[in-house]
Amino acid sequence: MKLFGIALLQSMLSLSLVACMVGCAREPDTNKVSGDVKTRIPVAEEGGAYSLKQVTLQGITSLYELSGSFAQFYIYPAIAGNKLTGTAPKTRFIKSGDLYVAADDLSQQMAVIYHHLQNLAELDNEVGAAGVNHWPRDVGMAVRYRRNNGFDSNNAFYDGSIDAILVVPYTQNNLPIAVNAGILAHEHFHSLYYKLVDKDMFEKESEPLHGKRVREEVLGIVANGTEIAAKVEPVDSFVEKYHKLLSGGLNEGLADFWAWVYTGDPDFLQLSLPSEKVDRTLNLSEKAEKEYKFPNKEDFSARIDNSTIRVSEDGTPNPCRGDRVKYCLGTDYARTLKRFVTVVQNSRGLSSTEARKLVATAVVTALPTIKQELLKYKTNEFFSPESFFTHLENNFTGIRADEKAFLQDIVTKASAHSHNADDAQAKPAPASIRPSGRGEQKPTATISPAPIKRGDRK
Amino acid sequence: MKSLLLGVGLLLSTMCAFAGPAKSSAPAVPWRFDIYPLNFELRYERDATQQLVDRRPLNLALGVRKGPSTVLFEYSRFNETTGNATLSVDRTHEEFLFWWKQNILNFEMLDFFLAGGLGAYDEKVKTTFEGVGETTDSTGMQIMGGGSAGVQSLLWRYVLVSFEGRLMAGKNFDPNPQPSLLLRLGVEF
Repeated sequence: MKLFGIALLQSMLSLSLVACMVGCAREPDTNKVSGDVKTRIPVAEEGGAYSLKQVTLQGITSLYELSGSFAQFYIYPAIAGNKLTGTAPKTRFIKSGDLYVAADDLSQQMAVIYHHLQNLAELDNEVGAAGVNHWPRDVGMAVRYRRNNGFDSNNAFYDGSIDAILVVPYTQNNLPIAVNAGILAHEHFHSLYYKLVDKDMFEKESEPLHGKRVREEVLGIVANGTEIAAKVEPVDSFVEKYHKLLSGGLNEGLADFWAWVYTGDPDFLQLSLPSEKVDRTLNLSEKAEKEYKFPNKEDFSARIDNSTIRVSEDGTPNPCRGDRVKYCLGTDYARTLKRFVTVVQNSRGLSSTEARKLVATAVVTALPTIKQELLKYKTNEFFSPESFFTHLENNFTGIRADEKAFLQDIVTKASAHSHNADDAQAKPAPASIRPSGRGEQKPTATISPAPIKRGDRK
Repeated sequence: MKSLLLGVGLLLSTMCAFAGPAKSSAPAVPWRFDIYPLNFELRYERDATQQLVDRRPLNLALGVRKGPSTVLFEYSRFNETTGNATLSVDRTHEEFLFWWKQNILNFEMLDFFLAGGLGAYDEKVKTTFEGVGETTDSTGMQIMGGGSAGVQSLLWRYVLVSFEGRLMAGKNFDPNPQPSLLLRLGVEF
């Protein structure tokens, strides 16, 4: 064995110093980046044309975790105590000039989501929904959502119980859902709807809500903490099912409308989920617009009854089968609101963006009163789908005669429209079929319906 | 820049230590040239969940050896592509390093060595949006360094085999320093 010169230790010491001096900081520099951060991400222009654009992410507290005033991310999250929990994903950005550029797709998606939530917070302020949500919003990435025997993919959810947007892995080769501005706006709207309408409306009686029983809460039979011995009238199961689906349809439809308000793209969904294009487009042909009649209570009840039929006698799939029945109604709402925006735009000489925001403001204003109407299901009263437009009219400040006439025409035609057994097939509906099954996690709302399971009734 | 100057200064002082008077009284030691065209490296980075994931850089090195001391120039590069056919992010990491490698112990055919390296890296990110366009961004050259310990052997007079463990340090490395394992096959003449 031979030991080389001890004098060389001087050199080795120097070499060690070289290595350490270069930087053994335990965390990357991006962890120190905060404030307003410039980046380049794929974003949509008005109308849905995407391009790579420079944007500024505001209020960043840590670029390394991309946390800040508008979003808090979790990867492979879990739920604990009605709260999304888990690890904050670590991003990889490179600094190129004054830009921080995402160096992997997850970091890019997080930057896109942060950017849109930042814009959607501004939209909330503009349309009178400021204060409905708390910020930063919780967002789950790469969420493992149980679906039958595996995990869900190509979908996004809003879960009201944990107040979080959940993005599951995207496996298709189109625009990733996490980058789709319309889908993010759609999911964001669900959070508004949940808080303005859906929360504490349909929970089971046994579930506690802030220490009180749901029914007691919603019917107001607990006053000043003292229980009043009031007997609650039992709710008919179909009435509850009808209103759950109606509220779900309203939620989905208004969320699609919100996506259009935000992007100006009536086909926002097709960029990520092309199979949904035909049934979820917000565009109606001129001919279809003239012949269009909004579904009334009887039509919607018939759709619910027929939703167990998978394929009609002539072999065509029932577009309103299973859970899709609410997406059918939702598309009716979204398309009609889009047409109403055109009326408002023409009547007032506004830009499309201005008209969209004006109608969105009326929608937000109308939602609390609609909630009160929907709650009447507890006393077995029905809310007819077209009644929404009456509430919209009543809550549209300074509504003009032609605008009022349009909304009244929708209601009048719907009311006059007699029940048609084939209505389920006649009405527009989403394409993919996604009822939920036993043992699945059930989010408050999803961007697309669940696939029907084998063995469902034909 | 301050770090770079300091690093270069330290490296020079290291080299001066070898060029000291002790050399003048020693018998003449021939210069040997080393080429390492086949290097298998496993570099460990942290992913979004803080798990270590391995990268396998292309690694090439050339060097000169005099006695127990070797100076090596090393180029390495790895690439990571994420995303899908519509939107992808392609990250390329390139390193240019000078290593000072010192054999400290000899045991039969095996030399134990320590090494220190200094150089620069560049990271490029190409974002491709199908049908829309692509952009390329770069960090520019950033200073980096490393420390290494391992064993090497000269077989049949010309064939070099070495195996080493390394820690590489640089701005925005995650983790920092970054662990790596390297197996080299080369020739010496």
